[in-house]
Amino acid sequence: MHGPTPDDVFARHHRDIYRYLVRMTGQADAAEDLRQEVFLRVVRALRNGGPVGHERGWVFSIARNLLIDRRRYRLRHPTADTGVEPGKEGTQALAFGLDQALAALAEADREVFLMKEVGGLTYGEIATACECTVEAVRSRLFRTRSQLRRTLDPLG
Amino acid sequence: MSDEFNHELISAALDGEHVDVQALKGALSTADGRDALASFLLLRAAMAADTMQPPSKAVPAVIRERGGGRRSSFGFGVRIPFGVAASIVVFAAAASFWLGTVRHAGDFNSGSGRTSTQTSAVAAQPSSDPPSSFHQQETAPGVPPTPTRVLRFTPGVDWHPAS
Repeated sequence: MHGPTPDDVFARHHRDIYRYLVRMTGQADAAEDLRQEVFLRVVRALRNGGPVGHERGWVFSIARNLLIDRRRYRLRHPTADTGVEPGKEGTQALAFGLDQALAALAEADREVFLMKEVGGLTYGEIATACECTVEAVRSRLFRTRSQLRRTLDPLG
Repeated sequence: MSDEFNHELISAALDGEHVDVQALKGALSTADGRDALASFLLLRAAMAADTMQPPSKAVPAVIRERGGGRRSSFGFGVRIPFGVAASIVVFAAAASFWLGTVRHAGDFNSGSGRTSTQTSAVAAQPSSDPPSSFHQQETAPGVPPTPTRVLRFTPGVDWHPAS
């Protein structure tokens, strides 16, 4: 039985991976570079045996690890632009208020929320990718949604 | 049950996670619970309406070039691992070097060019000598190799002394 081909994996996940990376970095260029690196690693991993566990969760884990590497690199080599920049050209296509509200979230909350809403991962897959418990994912998702709800509808 | 507990229950149910049905029913029985559900659904709809698209054209080519083309392959479609290909190249180079060395030694053994008319003991070696005797002569200290060609210059004919 043949495993997935790189083209198949790419076709299934590249758009959601890109959206995830854009929302996490706030920069379309950085997201595109990271997206290419994600699927290069996917290709190499497929040649060495294939995905570990659920395919979609595995691809998002790779993306998350690359984000961590990028964050560490930026800590060692600080640049003028730091953090997520909401509303810049290339990161819109989402309601401006929601864009800003997402950028204002803590990174750990944002990544869990995006994995759920953009990636469609289950709590178990998110817990594996983020190296936390299912209860932590559940709690974090609820907290994030409540915060977004308060931010977007302060009178509600 | 607190509102926060009820809302978290609704949030988890929205994500398809297993929750206590009776507790969920109780959470949705309040106006606050239903408002929370509506807010979470609107949030999900807003995220789903994200129209952002990646530049999709370049990546597959990059993946194929850098990720899928590293294996060594010949024109017959046979794929050979890089390590095996490297070993073959090294072996071929070593074999070529060895064959070249053996052939060079063989050229001396063949007796080609033995038209010498010298009467020295070295040149007088018959061409039917086995290679071993030649090698013995070759390796004898102070003994020059047998000439394969002699050029004879006649004074006054082929060369003239400087005046």
